[in-house]
Amino acid sequence: MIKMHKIEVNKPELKLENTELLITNFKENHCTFHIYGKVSCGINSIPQNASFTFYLHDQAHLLVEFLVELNNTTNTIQIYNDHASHLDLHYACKFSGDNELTINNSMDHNEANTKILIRAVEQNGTMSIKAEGVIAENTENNTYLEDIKAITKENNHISIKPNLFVKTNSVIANHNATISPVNKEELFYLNSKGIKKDRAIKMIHSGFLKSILKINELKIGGEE
Amino acid sequence: MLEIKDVTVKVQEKTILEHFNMKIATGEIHALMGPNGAGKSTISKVLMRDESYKVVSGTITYNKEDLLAMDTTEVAKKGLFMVSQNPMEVAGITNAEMIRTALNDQGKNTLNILELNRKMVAICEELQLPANFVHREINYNMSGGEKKKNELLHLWMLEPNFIILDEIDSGLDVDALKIVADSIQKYYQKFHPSILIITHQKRLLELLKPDYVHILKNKQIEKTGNYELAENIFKSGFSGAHVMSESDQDA
Repeated sequence: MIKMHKIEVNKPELKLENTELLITNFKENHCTFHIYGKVSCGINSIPQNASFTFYLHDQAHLLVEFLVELNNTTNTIQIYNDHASHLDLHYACKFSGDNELTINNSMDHNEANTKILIRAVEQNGTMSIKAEGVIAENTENNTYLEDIKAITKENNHISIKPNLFVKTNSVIANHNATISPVNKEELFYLNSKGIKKDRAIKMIHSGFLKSILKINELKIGGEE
Repeated sequence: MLEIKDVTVKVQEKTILEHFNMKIATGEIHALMGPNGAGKSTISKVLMRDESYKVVSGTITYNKEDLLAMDTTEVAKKGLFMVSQNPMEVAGITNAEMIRTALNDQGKNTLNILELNRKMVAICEELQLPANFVHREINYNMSGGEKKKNELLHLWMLEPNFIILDEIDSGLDVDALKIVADSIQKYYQKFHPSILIITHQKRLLELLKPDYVHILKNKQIEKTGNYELAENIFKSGFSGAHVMSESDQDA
């Protein structure tokens, strides 16, 4: 687990170089991050209309993790990968109200790596997730992975559109998306240890979100 | 005392058990054996009140209370505990979180977090598991042997009084089986729970020496005997064992 210092972001552009930080709040709706070297960044809260751009410069390595509660929130994330850059984007959210998450990733350099994991848990509402990867012509040796999973009360409460536009032959790319209710076998297992149904469901939700996270300081609302 | 009387069980309209009877007194060790697909694991799921297994007739009582009127959580609170042949992996929830929550929900948590952690570490040592298993995600990315030991960590922490071991020995190497069996034996000596062992293998029964052995065939208990019946099964198979056992008893 990674340990990091906490900051509030109060300007629209940030240069991050070889650092580890936890963003607890944004004063602006938009922020552009320029990433150099190795950066780990946890984000625990976002504005209701949030837009982020990540420029991963030459050979940059970014781990960015979101653990957020969305309530009538629109969040757009734009990613640009320079040569041999490496991105791990882990986005874990609980949602209520009507929400939209859009992630666009343009890979127009070579030997870059993108791994996007999204986990969403419905509290009471809807969510639309659009994840779009574009691997440009004449690029080589890029890797793009997108894995989106959601736990919902009803399947029609979420819509996932994982689009992948591959314009080159030299790439490893795959994407998948799953929508399901709470896993009944997990629920039975926790109940069989004596954990009450409501609490077991909360634990499964929380475990589902945390399972993609490496940054220990990220907390779900209400956690100690 | 667990008493299963004339129970018929269906899963998706298919009858798995029919007129099934069994009694297990406090402190007794019973082994349930039978061919593959006979429905041995079904009985463990029925006892733990898995909703997919419908009891269409008969009664099950535990210490004179109606088990069929309880849900899974209530059954666990009464002290029933199951180790399944392939323990569930639950990503994102640690052993410590799960055990602490289970003890709180069962009203049995008398220790603070530090004391609980210390107790778990001591049990890990006994089970020859690294101390960091306390904070590992439940059975996640563990080997088959580690999962079974991890379930025993839960057993020692939750202190149940009726244990169902559903093929706990499957997939264990000789050394791991010895550690698992020794741990169950120690638990038995300390707490004298009832134990129902479901197994195909000799070694676990040799180590735990059940008081009664049952053969489940054709959807019901077809034969009950003492440990000698198990020995006969290993010599002659399920059919041969019917003839050879002379010391049958009604459980």
